[in-house]
Order: sequence, then structure tokens, then C-alpha cells
Amino acid sequence: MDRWARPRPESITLDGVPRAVEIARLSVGEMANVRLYIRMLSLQEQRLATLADRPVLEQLAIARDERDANEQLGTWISEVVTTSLRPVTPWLALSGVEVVDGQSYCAAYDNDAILAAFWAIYLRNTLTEETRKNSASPRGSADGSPQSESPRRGDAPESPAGDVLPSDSTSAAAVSVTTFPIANPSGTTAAASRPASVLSAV
Amino acid sequence: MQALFDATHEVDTAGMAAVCRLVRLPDAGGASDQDAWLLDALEVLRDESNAMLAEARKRA
Repeated sequence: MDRWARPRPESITLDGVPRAVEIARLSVGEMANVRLYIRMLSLQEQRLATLADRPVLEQLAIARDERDANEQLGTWISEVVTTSLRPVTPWLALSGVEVVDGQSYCAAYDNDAILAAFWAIYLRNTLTEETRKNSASPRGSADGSPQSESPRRGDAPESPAGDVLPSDSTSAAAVSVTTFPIANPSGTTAAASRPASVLSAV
Repeated sequence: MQALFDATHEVDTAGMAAVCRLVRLPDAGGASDQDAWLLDALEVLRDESNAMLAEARKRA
């Protein structure tokens, strides 16, 4: 599978400026890792949410563990961004780093932007519930009328509307300085629909 | 997408009822090498096809 054969367009607002990027197609194996990281982010958030309720010594121990776990998780998330995101055209970030690929993106921006890119990568490789729902045939008339079977099975995944993500900027993801807490995944900017072509391998 | 679905799926009539199954992976390599979005999309189409087969069975 050529991950960059048909990249998905996306827009991420960085330093107040919307930037056009492309997102690679993730394999099933890569998506399994991404989902694992998301699960870890969620668990981390749950642990941190109850941190204040615990005794101080326990809080310190948990904080140490979280720091170590967070470092590894941050590395993995950055790796996803490094390998699966690239700018449509290079730009110069406010940090002074020229963003030419995923690696320089991670170098140019903070956790907030890296996490936003991570969510964008996940979302653009995920079939939305809207798309799933749009694919369903109306089953109210199971009397054999042509109408009940009219939405043919190939329609939905090619639907431009079904694959568009909720609006608002990815930069809206709330991220603290030291952690990669789970953020609202609805924060990516709507982009053009994916290419309508199908794989040529078959 | 329809062509890809047809190329990767077949209707299995060997059991009690006809069921649409994935019989070929759309791309080279193993299952974990496949395009995640595409496999999800094919799964939706397969579910839809099986629902239609079930409806046809009810009407028969």
C-alpha cells in the first residue's frame, strides 16, 4: 500500500494561520497503534482527573509515573505525525523552523499542535459515523419496492459530505504543558473530499 | 468503490443463507498492511449487502 498515493487534504490552524497539509493513508496495523495511543491518552486523562483526590505522596508517585509514560506516549504520537503528515507547500513557522515535512512540523510546534495533527491523522483515516449512516438503505419499506434498495452500496464512501470533518481549528485542542491529554477530536478543519478513484490494484 | 467491492467480495451460498464475504484483500500484503479507511468502507458495504440479502430472503 502506497501511503502517499492518495493523501487526504486537511487544514490545521497554526499560529492563527490555516495551513494546508496532506495526511497519509494509514494501514490497518498503523491505525491499530493510533487507536492504542488514543486509548492510552484517555486512560491518562482519567488518572489525572482523580489525581487531586489522592494523598499527596500518592500524587507524587503517580506524577512520576505519568511523566515517564507521557514521554513515551509523546514520542509515539510525534512519530505518527512525523510519518503521516506533510505540508502541501512549505511554510516558515513563528518558531523560525521551516516546515517541510512531518519531522519539521514536530520541531516547529508544541504539544498542542502535534496533538492536533495527530487527531487530524486519526480522523482523516476514520470512517465517520455520518458516512456509515449515509450508507444505510432506507429500510422502512421492506415490501420489495425499488425504493427500498435504491441507495446502492457503493454510494456512501464516495460521498463528499460524509467524509468532511467538523469545522473549527485543530489548534483548539486543549493541551497542558507537560502532558498529551485526550482532546476533543472534533477540532479539525473541514477539507475537500477524498479522491473518488478506487485502487488500481484489483 | 463498487468495482473494488465486487472484486474483493463474493456471495457465499454454501450455508443456510447467502452471505457476502471478503474473499480477497484489496491491496498487496497481509491484513495489517491494508488501507484502514478502505477496509472500514468495505465493511460498511458488506454489512449493507448482507442486510439487502437478508431482506430478499425474507421476501422470498
